[in-house]
Amino acid sequence: MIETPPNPPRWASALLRVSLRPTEVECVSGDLLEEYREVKRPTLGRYRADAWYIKHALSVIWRLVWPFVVAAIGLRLLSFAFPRGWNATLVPAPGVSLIDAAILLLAGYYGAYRTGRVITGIVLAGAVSVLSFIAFLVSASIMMPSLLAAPFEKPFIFVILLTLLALGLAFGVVVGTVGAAFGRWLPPSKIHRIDVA
Amino acid sequence: VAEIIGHFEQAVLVALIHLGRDAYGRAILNEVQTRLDRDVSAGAVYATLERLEGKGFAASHLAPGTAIRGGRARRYFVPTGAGVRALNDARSASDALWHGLAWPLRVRA
Repeated sequence: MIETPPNPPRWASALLRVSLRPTEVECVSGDLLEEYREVKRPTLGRYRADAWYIKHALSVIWRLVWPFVVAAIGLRLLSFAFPRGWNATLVPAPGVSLIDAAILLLAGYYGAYRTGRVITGIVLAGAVSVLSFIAFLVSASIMMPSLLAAPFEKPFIFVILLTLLALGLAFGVVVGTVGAAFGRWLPPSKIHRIDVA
Repeated sequence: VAEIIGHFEQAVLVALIHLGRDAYGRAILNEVQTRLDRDVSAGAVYATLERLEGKGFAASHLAPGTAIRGGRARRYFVPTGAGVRALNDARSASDALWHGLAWPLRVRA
């Protein structure tokens, strides 16, 4: 019987592929796979080797996503400092305001512009939405510590939080897709792709 | 004016010089971790290699991959002349900064 070599988690490999330019995908994913199979898996075991791979895959996407996450967190902090209504929003939920839309649009644009693939922009904008929501929860809990206990006292608050997260994520994916389409098909992106090729 | 390179960029360039013909992503990552004596993320190393190439301090070429990496190509890096000069300049600047001081520094009680 032929033994198949061990593989890292598929979702982490997919995330890594999505975050890289087509010219980088083979080399970077090959480097991590080689270290995973040759060193980490035999010495650390499955779970710790998987954790090692996931950490490095996330570090690659983090290099793309962090400026937008910083912008989104800055926006959350400003929201506490300024009076209500300064940041126009269609629905009273975090992460769906006009400025959020601008950040997500840029994230989508940058992701697609960098790799020449729409999916990168969508993933980037989605990641910004989720991390921005987490930042909102953390900052709200710091402002009102009683919020931390609220979901345990009233379980329906979990449902509300999940709904808000889903709303923010859907908004991020939709706006990110628009940004990614611009990043993929506008002239600057074409110039960039010719450079890479 | 010499191009200023950061501490991490210096570590990556030194790794390229030390590894010679074997300088590809995985080996560079391990070498930088050893030299800096800390855990380093792959994202930081690849971003730095990209930046060094952009500045003209390193060049790269592709080579066929091995079976253990699923046949995926390896990208080998070499420091360019400009990269070596930048490293020399960085080392000279550091030496000039320390000139005249006995090492290790003594702590006054």
